[in-house]
Amino acid sequence: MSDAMSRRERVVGLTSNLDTTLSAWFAVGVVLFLLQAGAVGTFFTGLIADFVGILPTADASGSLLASVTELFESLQRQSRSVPTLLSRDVVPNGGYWNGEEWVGTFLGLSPAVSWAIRVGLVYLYSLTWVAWAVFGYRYYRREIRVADWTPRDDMIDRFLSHKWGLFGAAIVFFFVVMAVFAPTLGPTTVEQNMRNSYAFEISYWNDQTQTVEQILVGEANLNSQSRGDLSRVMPMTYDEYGRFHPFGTMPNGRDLFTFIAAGSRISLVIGLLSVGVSALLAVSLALVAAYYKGRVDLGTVLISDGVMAMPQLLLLILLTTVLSESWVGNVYSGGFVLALIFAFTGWTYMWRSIRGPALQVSERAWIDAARSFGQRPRTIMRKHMLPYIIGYVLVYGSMTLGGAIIAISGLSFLGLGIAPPTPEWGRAINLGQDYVDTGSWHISLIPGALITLVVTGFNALGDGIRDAVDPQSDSESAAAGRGGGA
Amino acid sequence: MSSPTQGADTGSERGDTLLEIRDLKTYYTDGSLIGGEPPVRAVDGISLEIARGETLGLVGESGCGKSTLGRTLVGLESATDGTIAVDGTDITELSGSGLREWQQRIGMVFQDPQESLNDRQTIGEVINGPLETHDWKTPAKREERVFTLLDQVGLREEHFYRYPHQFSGGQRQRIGIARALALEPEFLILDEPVSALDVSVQARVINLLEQLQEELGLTYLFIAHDLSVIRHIADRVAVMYLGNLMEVGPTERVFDSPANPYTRSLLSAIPGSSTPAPDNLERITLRGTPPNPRHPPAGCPFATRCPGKIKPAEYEGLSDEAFDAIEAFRDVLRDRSRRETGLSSQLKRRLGIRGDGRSVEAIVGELFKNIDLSPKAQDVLDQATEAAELDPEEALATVNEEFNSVCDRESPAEHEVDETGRRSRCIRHRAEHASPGDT
Repeated sequence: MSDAMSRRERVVGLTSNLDTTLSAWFAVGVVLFLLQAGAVGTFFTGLIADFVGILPTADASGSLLASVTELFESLQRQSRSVPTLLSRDVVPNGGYWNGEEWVGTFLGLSPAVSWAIRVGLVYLYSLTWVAWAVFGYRYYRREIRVADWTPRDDMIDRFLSHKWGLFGAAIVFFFVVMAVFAPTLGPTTVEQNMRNSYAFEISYWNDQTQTVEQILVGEANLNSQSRGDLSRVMPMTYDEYGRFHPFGTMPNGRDLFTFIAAGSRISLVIGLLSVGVSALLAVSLALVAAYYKGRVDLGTVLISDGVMAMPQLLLLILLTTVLSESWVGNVYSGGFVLALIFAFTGWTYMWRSIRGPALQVSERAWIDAARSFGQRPRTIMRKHMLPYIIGYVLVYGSMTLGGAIIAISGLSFLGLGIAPPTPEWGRAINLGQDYVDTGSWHISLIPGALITLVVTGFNALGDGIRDAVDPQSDSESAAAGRGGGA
Repeated sequence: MSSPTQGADTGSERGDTLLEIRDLKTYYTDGSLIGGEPPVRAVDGISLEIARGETLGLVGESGCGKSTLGRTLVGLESATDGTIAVDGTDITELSGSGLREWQQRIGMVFQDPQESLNDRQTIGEVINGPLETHDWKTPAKREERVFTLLDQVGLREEHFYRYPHQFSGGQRQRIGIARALALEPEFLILDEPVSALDVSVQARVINLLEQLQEELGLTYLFIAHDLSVIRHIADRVAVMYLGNLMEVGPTERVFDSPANPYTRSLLSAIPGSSTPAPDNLERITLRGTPPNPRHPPAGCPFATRCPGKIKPAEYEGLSDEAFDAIEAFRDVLRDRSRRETGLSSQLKRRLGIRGDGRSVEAIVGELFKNIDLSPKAQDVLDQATEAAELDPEEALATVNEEFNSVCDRESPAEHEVDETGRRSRCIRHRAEHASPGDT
């Protein structure tokens, strides 16, 4: 096969010439990862330890599960000691004024500036990752890949020229970074400011006595409450204890930005989990039903109609109450159960949306061609059908994620769902609703505006993907994403 | 057309039977849980042999079941009844690994090359599909095989990494052929492989197919509705109508002196002068449309439209025009009796409310304008017309009883037309009737 050889030589020649660029690109990735390796390790070991620890049998001391939990907890402690670039220790903002200068902040700058630098670093770091990935893709497409064109190129190019979709992608990027770096972004931590506020002491400059004094965080919070016109700590201001509040404080004196950053992580995790599970259900059922048609299709229609007929809100209230005492109800402050309920009631909508495309592609002659040479059904579904509906899954997944965020916030607003004191955006709105028409309007307004912005962002991203994968579709007539749930 | 095979894998002489189809039936049921309409009889009792190394052309109107026959052979549809014997194995019984083994020996090329290639796969992946499915040798060998195939069908190696979008129709069909050939099959089913292509491209694809047959000793089942293509490529031709085989025989004989009335009308319908139709054939225009394959005629499948239909003995003297009108009237009645079975339409009928259509009386008036009937025929007709509005089924029975001929009652058996093994199905082949060509 001389023809084949010449092609292979070409490929080999290409890669050896381009080795330097490729290895440089790879090295940049490793350096970027190492900067945060400790945080990643802490996150995953903590996750596994929490998960194992929450299993019902993990209580008995000396059991295998208990020792596994301990192992991962010790691993977490170790990985916590690995220095990372974006930790609070590297750029601290929790200092105090000693009459002449700021003590304990980054380079002696004010807490506001220190905090701003840390936030800037986080986003710079994340943008660097994006740039790294974009460069990698471009390089692959231009230099490494043998095919000079693929259908996917057109989709990506269409998306990149879709301004509304790019706007959505930018919003989603900001939100996701906020969720991922939630512990770093807040001016203070959930543990110190909310969960155990009476276990932490801070120093502050007392104006009256002109000395540095100590106070418990809980007591400091009591004196920095935002309740109406007279007592309030507005966005971008300091309270009496020299603590900077980018979004002001809540009615109980806690820091609103820390609350929102932590809440975004909850929203994203529940949203991703529920959308992931429902997409898995919807895609597998749509593929199987579209391939076999007839009675299998009828069966899935019946099942989904049955699920759709269940009142989602009532089911949510019922199950969160019933399961609140059980071990599964406590996983992730009840978020795990919420995600599962969203998934099992929500997959039908996604299934409805992708059933059409799945049936359409199942009628194409290449499915017959694959069957004619004996390809197995599962392979046919994966190779010849899935690529055509995965775009729709992204579209509806993105839009459903927005819906899930609204639904979770709605539930917390009603006092259901995520158990306090775990931060959730909806609860902030609820806490602030008595002060909307007073000077402390920021408590409800900021999380409300953020929810709107984030959900708009997810919907815009979905629009952009749809126009990219299916340029013929009329954005007016195509089924809109599912809005609020609860 | 095709020369004897040289070095075919099977090592068999050309001429032995590759596969033998006996009374094959493939029905489509509509899959509803309760009741439902009778099944569509796409293939309704076909017997046929295909010899190794030959090209068998399969022609017929669209919807006559010729594609279904091909799809049943390759295992895409399951046969309702009958057998397809290959080396002593009935492949209609196969499933699982047995079927997959058969599918390695048979390849299929589809009609529309725009539809039959997954446009998210590179050409390499498309052609590699069958090889990968059957775990053919090693991945490296498969890749080499794909390059060989690309070369064999006249494509270049750099096409390996391109996508179907980047090819013309003719090139895409070449890719489809390469895919069908990937597993070195002995038998290819070509389901209208050139009818979606430009005429100039058609010729090149056909030449490629002929050349491949010569090189690889392939057997072809060439399904087409284009008779000139069939005449060019096929050694033998099989003519299908409404799920039945009307005539089978060597291409030249069938084209030069068609034995069956349906073949005659099909050949006469080819327009232009430089056609494969025999010169002495006058253009025959068939009346009406093919019957609903859910309700095929009881006798000869072609009886409802046949220009050479045998008249009942007592109406020998009736004119052809009169019989045409009676056939058309029967069509109307059949249509109505099938349509008006719903509860609401029956209720309407009982209450004397006329449905959407025209009255039967008006239709009869138009059909039998300027037509002389014998008094007895006229009497039956009037009787039926009267009954038709209320009970079309009874009216149909009345007409059938009076005017049914042997063609409506009896299904014609196969008749050996000449010494070349040509067979045709027509009542007129019986000794007591005038043969089809003489009418």
